[in-house]
Amino acid sequence: MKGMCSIPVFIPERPVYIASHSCICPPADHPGISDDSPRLAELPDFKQVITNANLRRRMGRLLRIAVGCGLTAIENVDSADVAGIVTATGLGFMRDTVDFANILLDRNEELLNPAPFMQSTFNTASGYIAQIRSIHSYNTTYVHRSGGFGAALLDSLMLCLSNPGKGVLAGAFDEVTPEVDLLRRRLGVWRNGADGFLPAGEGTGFIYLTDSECSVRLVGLYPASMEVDCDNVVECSGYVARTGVSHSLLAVVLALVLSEYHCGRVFVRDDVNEGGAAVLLDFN
Amino acid sequence: MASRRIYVTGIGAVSAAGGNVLDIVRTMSSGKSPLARVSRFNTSVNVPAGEVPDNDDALRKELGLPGEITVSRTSLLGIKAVREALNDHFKRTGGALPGKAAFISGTSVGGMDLSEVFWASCRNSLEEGDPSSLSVHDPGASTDGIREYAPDSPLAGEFWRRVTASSTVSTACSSAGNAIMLAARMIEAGIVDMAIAGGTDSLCRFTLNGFNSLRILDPENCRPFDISRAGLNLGEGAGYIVLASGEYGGAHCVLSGWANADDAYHQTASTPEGTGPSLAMHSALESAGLSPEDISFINTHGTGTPVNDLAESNAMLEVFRENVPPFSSLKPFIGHALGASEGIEAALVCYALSEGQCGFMRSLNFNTPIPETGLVPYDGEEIMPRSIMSSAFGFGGNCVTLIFSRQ
Repeated sequence: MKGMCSIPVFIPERPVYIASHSCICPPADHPGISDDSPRLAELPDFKQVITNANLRRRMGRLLRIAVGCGLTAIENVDSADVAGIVTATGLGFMRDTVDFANILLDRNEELLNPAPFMQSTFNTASGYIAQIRSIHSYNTTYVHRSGGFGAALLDSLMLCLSNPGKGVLAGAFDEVTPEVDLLRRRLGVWRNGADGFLPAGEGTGFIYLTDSECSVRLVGLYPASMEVDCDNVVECSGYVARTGVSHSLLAVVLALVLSEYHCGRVFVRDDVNEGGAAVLLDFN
Repeated sequence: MASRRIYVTGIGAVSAAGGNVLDIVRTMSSGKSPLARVSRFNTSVNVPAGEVPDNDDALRKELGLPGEITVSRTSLLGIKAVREALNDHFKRTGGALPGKAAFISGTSVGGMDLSEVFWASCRNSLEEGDPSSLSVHDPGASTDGIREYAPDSPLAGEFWRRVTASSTVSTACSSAGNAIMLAARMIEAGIVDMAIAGGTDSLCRFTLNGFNSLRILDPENCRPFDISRAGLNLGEGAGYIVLASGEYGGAHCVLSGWANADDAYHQTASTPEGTGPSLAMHSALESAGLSPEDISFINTHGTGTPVNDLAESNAMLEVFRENVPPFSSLKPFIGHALGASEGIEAALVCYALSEGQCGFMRSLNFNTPIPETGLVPYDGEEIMPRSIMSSAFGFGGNCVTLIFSRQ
C-alpha cells in the first residue's frame, strides 16, 4: 500500500486548542515488539455515553468503540457548540464488510440481513455520534489510510477557525480482525525488518478542538516526512509494541500523549505509516 | 459569502448515459433512459442499473494503461473523468497551472469491485487466491490510482506535480459533494489555488446486494417525485470539476455556496420533514449570500425512494415556500452512482450554467405528484439559469448542498 496521500502543512492563523481527548486502545502491559500478534483494545462498557442498550448491542465492535470514544471526548460539551464531527479510518468496519461479502456468497444473494452492509459504510460512526447527540452540524469522514486522519485534522482546523466560540470533534478508528491480520501479512504490510511483522492493532483516538483558550494548543499539522524544530519528538513507533499498528495510529498516540505530557512543545509524528501526518503540540 | 471567487474551469463525467459530458447531455436530451440489467458481473438481483458499457479491459485500452497493473474499475472510471475535466480546464484557461493544487476524491466503496473477485476466489481458505487485488481495496487506493495514471500529457504531468494535498472522502452517497466542498474551503483558506474534486464509484455485487437487502431498489426504472415511486436504481461512473481562484473568463460558472448538515435521525433513512436537507439548503444559500428567489433551478438528490423524495420535497417547501423553482432528478438517466453521483451531477449542472440551458435536465418517468407535497418536477420548458442548487444526501444523515452561479 503506497502512501500517496499528501498532507499540506497547516498552521492555524489563530490559536486552536485541544479542550478534551479520549482514547480506546490496547492495555499498557504488552508482550514486547517481537510478539506480532494483534493488539486488541480494552473496552469500557460505554453505558454512560451510549445509553440506549439496544443500540449498544446492535453496534459491531469497532462501531461501539469509535462512537463510544467520540462521545466520551464531547461528554461535557453542549451539542449546540459542536460545529463539526470529522472522522477518519484506514479500512473502516472490516468485520461487517467481510461478513456481508461472505454471506452474500454463502446465501447466493438471497435473504440477506442488511445490518452488516449498513454498518460497513465508512461514515457510520460519525453519523451515529451526530444521531445520539442530536448534532446537526458539519459531518464528514476521510478514508485514505494513515493520511485520512491528517485530512480530518486539516478539515477540523479550518472548521474551527471559521466557527469562533464553537468546537470540532476529530478522531480516527480502525480494527484488526483475523482476516485483516492474515491478508496484510500476505500483502507485506507493516513489516518489521526483512522477515518479520509489526503487530497490527485496534484502537481509536478523538480530540475536541476549540478556539477558546485551554492548556494544550495544536500549533500545526505537517506531513510526517517534514522536520520541525522541536526538542521533544514523540515517534509513533515507540508505542507500537503496546498499540500495534493501524492507519489510525497517530490518533491513538496523540490521545495517549495528551494524557502523558504536561509541559513544553511536543512533536508527535507517525513514522510507521507511509504518507502519515504529524502534529506540533504546545502544553502550557 | 465566499471570500475568494471560486471558478469552475473544467468538467468531466462518465456514466451509463455516456463517456463524457457532451455524450451524457445528448443521451439526456433524447429522453431515453439507458438503465438496464447489470451485464458485467453475475448476479441474481434482477433490477435495472446504470452500468458504464465499457468493461475494464476496454477502459484500460482506451486510457492506454498496461494490462498487468492492479487498478480498480473505480479508479479507471475516475481517470477517464479526471482527464476530461483537466483537459477542459487547460482548453478554457490557455493551460493555466496552479501554484499548489489539491485532488479530493469521493467514493463509497473504493476498490470493492476487485476485492469481491478475490473474496469469491478464496472460499475455502484465505491463504488461496491472488491477494494483490486487495491492495487497492480501500477508498484511498482508488484516489491514488487516479493520481498515478491520470497524467496524459506533459502539461497534465506538470499539474499533477503541483498537487500538494490529496485525500479521499467517504460519506456514502454524498461523498463527491463533500469532496467538492472541502476543495472549495481549501482554496478559500489559501492552502491551494486550484483543485480537482468530485467522485467515482463502480457497480459491484456488494453494493447491489446491500441496497437490495435494504429493499430500496425499484425492480423497474426509478420514478423520482412520482406517487408510484418504489425505490432507486444503482449506477456507476465518475464526475469531477476543476476549481480555481483568480479571474478566468472562460470558466463554466462559479461555485458560489456550499454547506453540509446532518439529519441526526437514522443511519439509512431521512426524517420525513427533511431536517438535514433543509438545513443544508439554508446554509448553502447563506454561504453564497443568496436568497431563495435567486435560485433558478434545483438539481435534486431525487433517488426515487419513497423516503428520500418526500423528505427532499418537504425540505424544498420549507426553504422555498410557495415558490419552489423548477427541479428535477438526473437519476433516471444515470442511476444513483453513490459516491460519484454529486460529481457527475455537479459537472452537468456546470454545463447547464455554461450553456445557459436546462432543457436536457427535464424529469423522466413522472406522472402524478406526491399527494403530501403536490410538487411537479421540471417539464423541460427552457429557462435561462442564473444560480443552480444541487444536493446529495447519504447514509449517516449526511447532507450536502452546493450552489453554482453564472459568472
